[in-house]
Amino acid sequence: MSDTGSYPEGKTGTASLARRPRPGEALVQAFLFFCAAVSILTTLGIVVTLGEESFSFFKGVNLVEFFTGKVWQPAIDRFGILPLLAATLTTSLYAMLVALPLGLLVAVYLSEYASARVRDILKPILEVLAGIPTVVYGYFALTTVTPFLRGLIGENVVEVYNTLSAGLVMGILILPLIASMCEDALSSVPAALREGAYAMGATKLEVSLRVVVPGAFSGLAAAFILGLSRAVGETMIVALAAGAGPNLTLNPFRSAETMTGHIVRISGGDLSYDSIDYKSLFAIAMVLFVVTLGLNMLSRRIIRRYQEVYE
Amino acid sequence: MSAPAKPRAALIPGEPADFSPNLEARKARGAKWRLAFLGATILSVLFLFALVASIVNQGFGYVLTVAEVDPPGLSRGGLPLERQDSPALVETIRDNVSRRFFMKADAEAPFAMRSREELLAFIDAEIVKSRVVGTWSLSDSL
Repeated sequence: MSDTGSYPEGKTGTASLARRPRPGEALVQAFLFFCAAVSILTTLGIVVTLGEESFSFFKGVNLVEFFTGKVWQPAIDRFGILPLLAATLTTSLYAMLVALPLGLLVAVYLSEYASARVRDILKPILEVLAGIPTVVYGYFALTTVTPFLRGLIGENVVEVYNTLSAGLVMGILILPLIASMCEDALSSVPAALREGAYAMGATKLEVSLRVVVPGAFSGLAAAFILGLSRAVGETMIVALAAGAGPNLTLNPFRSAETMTGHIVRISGGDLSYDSIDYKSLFAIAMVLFVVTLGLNMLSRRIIRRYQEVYE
Repeated sequence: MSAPAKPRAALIPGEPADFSPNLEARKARGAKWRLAFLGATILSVLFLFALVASIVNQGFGYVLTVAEVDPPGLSRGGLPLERQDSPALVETIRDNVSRRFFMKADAEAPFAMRSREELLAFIDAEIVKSRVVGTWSLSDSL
């Protein structure tokens, strides 16, 4: 399509509205598409590998036995994932019991109460310290938190490797993540809503808890679920501090092995390729993948369901 | 005992003067929660600083080592081990290990081809034979 007109400088000619070829832009677009495709294909590759090996594993192990069995002892062909699943869920629960309330309180303080100067100091400190490698957190759990718990509760009660210590330290690890994401969600609530509430005579607490927190609910829920997802997938802390033996127990003072901890321990040993033990790791990884995928999907669903759009 | 509260003036003509009798209670609740928010923030920062303090405490401090041969006793021509050049280090090794062991180690990797650092490491491992018998954290060391 073309249109006849004059150029702004007064030059006469034909101004074409047809799309001009822009090789640079096409190149950038192709590169971005390639990047997106690589990440999607990587995920697909992981799913295919996990699926293949898991399928091979489940040809030899009954699916019902796998999900309901209470003993995980590959040496005697007992593949009940419950001990590993229970340890994963309990350590994640302890982590969330620490990270969720503290993270939300910190976020409300930073977003609603702290001055800009205090916020500018505290937020980077929390975020920078969150970048400490998780293996350091693991040793912190083993060498500082566990002795503290044993001194506090009793050496006969608390085992050297225990899920409580690992869970608490995992909570400390996730705390900055949740605090930071919640603070972002709370800060994105428009100031007009706060001002309206203040104009109605609300106190700062009432504005925070009855206006800002409900207004940022979708972001807060997403932060909690992503935090939980992070806890479920955390490896080094539980590998070092929770214990190295599948043990079906809800006692927080006893040792138990999580799914990630088990994968780390077994894959580090001399496992023969193509054995049932080897394939069992992929089956565990598949369960882990499905759990974290489910949590991420739930997070997205909550965001879509409760997201408030402000003008 | 606190003094009786002063009656408030009416903001809107015709309205009762003390229009919000629970305002003080709401403010007090707000102050308590403010403390809770601040306390949680301080606790979080303390947790993270405890982690850093733990790393520093365990990363530094005294280490007690015991050596089978005292390194100052290996000085040659008045020069301590750290200041000897490679040929002098080879001579030190020759003087302090058996002839057979020297030949064997030389056959594995000729001493003349080894760097100064490798020779020092060999002396530490095979002659000085230092081993750690005790460690102390930074707080213990201080």
